[in-house]
Amino acid sequence: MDRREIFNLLFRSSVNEPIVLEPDPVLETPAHLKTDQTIPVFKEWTALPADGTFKLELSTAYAFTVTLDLNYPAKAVNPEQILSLGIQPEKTSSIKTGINSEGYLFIDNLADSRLIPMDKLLTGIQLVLTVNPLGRGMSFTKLKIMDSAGLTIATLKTRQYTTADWVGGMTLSAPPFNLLRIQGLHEAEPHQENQTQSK
Amino acid sequence: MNRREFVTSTTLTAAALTILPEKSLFANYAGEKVKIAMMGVGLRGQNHLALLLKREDVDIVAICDVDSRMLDMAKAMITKSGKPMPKIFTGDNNAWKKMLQLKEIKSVLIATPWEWHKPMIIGSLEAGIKYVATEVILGITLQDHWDVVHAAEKHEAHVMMLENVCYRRDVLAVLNMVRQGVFGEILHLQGGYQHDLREVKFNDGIKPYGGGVEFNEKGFSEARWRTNHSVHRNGELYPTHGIGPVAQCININRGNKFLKLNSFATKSRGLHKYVVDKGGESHPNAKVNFRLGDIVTTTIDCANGETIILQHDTNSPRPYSLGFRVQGTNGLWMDINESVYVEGVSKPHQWDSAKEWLEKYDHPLWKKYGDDAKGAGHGGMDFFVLHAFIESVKRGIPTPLDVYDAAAWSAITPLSEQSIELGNETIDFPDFTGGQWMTRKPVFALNDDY
Ligand SMILES: NC(=O)c1ccc[n+]([C@@H]2O[C@H](COP(=O)([O-])OP(=O)(O)OC[C@H]3O[C@@H](n4cnc5c(N)ncnc54)[C@H](O)[C@@H]3O)[C@@H](O)[C@H]2O)c1
Repeated sequence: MDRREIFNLLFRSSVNEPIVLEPDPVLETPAHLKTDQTIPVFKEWTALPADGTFKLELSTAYAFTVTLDLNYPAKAVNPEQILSLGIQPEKTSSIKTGINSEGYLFIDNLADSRLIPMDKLLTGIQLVLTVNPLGRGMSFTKLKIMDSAGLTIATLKTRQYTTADWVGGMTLSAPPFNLLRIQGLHEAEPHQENQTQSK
Repeated sequence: MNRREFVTSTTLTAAALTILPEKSLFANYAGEKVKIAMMGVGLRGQNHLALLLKREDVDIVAICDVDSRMLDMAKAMITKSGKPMPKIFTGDNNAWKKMLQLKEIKSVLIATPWEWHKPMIIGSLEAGIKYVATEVILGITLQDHWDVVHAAEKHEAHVMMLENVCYRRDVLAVLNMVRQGVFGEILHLQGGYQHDLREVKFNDGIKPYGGGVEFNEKGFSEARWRTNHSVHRNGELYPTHGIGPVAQCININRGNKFLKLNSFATKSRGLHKYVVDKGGESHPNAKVNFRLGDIVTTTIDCANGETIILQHDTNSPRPYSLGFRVQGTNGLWMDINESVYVEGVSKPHQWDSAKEWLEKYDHPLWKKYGDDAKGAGHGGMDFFVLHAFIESVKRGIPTPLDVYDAAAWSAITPLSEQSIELGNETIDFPDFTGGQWMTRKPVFALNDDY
């Protein structure tokens, strides 16, 4: 029996609104978590590509991770940012993320409140950017920095981006680096990936 | 045996020398004796000393400690054993460095406060010692752990952390069950250090256990140094008894790896309350701010898809339990209710008493050495861990628990502290094996050898 029918019975309701049947609840795996039709993407660079852009070549509809391993970032000459990873360079408003010149993690206008000690920036560090889709086209983004022992020393999180914001390539403002690694997933059918990217 | 019993029994041992050897072990051993030096002969060191004195395949060539009372207790044990008195090094915190100049030392056993482990291990390796056994906890910071790993690699030496709980009889039987597939594919494990240490962290400076609310220089034994860690640190401060056994069940560093953890800590109440209850509000220690949360819960994620929960619970009244749980696709063991459930064998939805299962799967090591282990500390497991070390030295082979195990297990402490400091952030584990975890094979307790 429908809720409205019960209501009408109980309260002898005279409301003559049409009874709309509620759809049966459906449980299904959210699309961004269905990975059975995907293939893993794993790419590593130890030097800047010729055109200066690291192509993501993965589907941003699924979770992906960018790991950047570098030495002495604080020695990089860059007045605004010690280090920045710029995503989606073909668009005017690319996402910039990295360590700002004051020594804080940042993602565009968002900056962490935990100062990264300068001595850490004068040795080796690792920056790890993970982007996890949340469904409905939005993404959860987390940037973290690890010191040379592998200890996480600061993290910064945001939900302000869509999965589409991350489509494209990546530039790096503070070479040289030891390693840049991208791990993620690619749809098995190439044309599907284009669809995702144009969402 | 719980901590109270252990501490009481070692104290009695030291005072009355009752558990010293009735029968010696390896009396027919004809090979070269293991020449060992000991750093720290406090209560734990004396426990090891008693076992070493029992063995005819070991020569204790030197001992070092800075506490004359502890040294006197150790010397009394040695005299009573009838073994020659080793060279004694004491006087200051660096006397161990002089001891390491002795050419005859071939192995070192460290049972000092945690903060001394890393310098003593590395110092020993730099002095050319190829076998170092250290009591649990490898270092304080994550970098300390790397330093020890790098030093062991550089000097091609073996560093074994004496994680005795890996050899507990039920733990080894359960490992046996895991290896025989009784629980199916392993999914989830739990362990911890759930031990009311309030009477260890505070004492009267005379007895090792309770009687006062003193610590640091006014305390005795662990109250002298361990409590200070509860003042300054908040994290999973003692992970290895819980993690060692469960790590063996899922082959950590040997086909599997800890990936990441996060830790949550409760508020800190127990230690302050204890000081006030026992010493009064006007006692100076009532003003001390203890940072350590009373119960710290850590969750670990592993490369092969298992999860682990560790709990550090040392500041509240509670009976002792390491809280083990080993659970797979077919069933599970829980030590707290001493029970096992195996689908298709146990009555549906009912626990079996673990006793029959543990007896049925008793590990070959216990079957062989159970009698020798009688009287050794912590229900006998201390015999096995020391035996494994000594046998490795005798045979010139890698120790079954190696520096990578030690580093991975002990690094949980600085990683959990960092997680709490960053607001319970999930923290990645470093890979101390440098990728070797993928190809290394299990070696721990594969048979009844050592
Ligand atoms: N595996 C176990 O079941 C178990 C049980 C108890 C203790 N432990 C571990 O054993 C270690 C020692 O604990 P304990 O209970 O014996 O503590 P303890 O305080 O009784 O003994 C430590 C000894 O180290 C000595 N020492 C301190 N600094 C020194 C230095 N610089 N040089 C030489 N000696 C020094 C102290 O004087 C003391 O005698 C710790 O790592 C502890 O966690 C393990």
